[in-house]
Amino acid sequence: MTTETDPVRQAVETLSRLVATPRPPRDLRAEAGRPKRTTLRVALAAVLVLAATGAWLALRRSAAPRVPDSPRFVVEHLRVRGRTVEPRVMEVRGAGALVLMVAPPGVASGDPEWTVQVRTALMADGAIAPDGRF
Amino acid sequence: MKNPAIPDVPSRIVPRGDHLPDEPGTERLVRAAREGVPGAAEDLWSSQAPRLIRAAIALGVPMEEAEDVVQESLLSAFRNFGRFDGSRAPFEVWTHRILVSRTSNWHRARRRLRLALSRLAGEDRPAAELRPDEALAAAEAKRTLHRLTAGLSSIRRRVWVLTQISGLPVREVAEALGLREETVRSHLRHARLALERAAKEKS
Repeated sequence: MTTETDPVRQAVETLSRLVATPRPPRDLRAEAGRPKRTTLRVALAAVLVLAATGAWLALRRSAAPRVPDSPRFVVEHLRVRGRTVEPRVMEVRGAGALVLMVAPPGVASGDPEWTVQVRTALMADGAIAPDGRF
Repeated sequence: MKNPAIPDVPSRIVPRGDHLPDEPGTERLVRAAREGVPGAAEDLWSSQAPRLIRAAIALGVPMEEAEDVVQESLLSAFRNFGRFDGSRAPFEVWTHRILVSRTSNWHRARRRLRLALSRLAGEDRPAAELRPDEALAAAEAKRTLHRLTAGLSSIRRRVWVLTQISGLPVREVAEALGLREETVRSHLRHARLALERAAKEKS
């Protein structure tokens, strides 16, 4: 380095001489910590777990009730989120289908979450209650 | 054993008592600190701090803030000691890399703070308590440093500081800044030219 840049060095030296050097804290120690790769793996695993949980919840929430194929079980086994629900008959469309209004478990039946269309051929004989419930 | 035929490199500011990057003393201290030898961590800290202070000042951190920036950098280095891989680069490179990052954060925070304080009077932080002659010397040194380095880009300034002020070899500066060695040499050449030009203009 040529002498042209010496003023910079001199300035740095002058200033650093006037600055207090930080002293180590009393309880200073070299902490083991985790290697970077381990930290990244842990972070990646956490992200994957969160993503899987979110996907599972989303699927669970949006899944409409399944309608069993057998006519015997249309009414008795219409289940939402693992619970048996009591669908309410809303409308009969034409001759071929029955529209059921299904409320989620624990919610008043007047606040439906899904509408399920069931072929009338799947209905059990005499299963419709007089008040419109199965 | 030192060979008297090889002269000292005058361009590096490495006062007595500081450790050169390849000095085995630092490696010994690192090993001892890792093993938890009492006092080793403190010695390692003390061996790094003076050089980091100079580097921080040369990187544009005002003398009033340099102690804090270096303290934070060293604390970070010791908190993350487990991540330090001595087979890749010496401990000095690790601490300088952290310092460069902290300095960069400091500059960003300062810009934000300036914006926030722009409406208030007396934005400058009160200067450290200095004797009148020290205050005079500090003011002159600040002016010189600012005037001569104002034209350097941040990357060239970093390269110049780490090689010329901290005395790190080009290979290790490349490692610390994530650059290729040729790029470091090129930045260093341009930084020298810019500093020489600025010094001539000043004189």
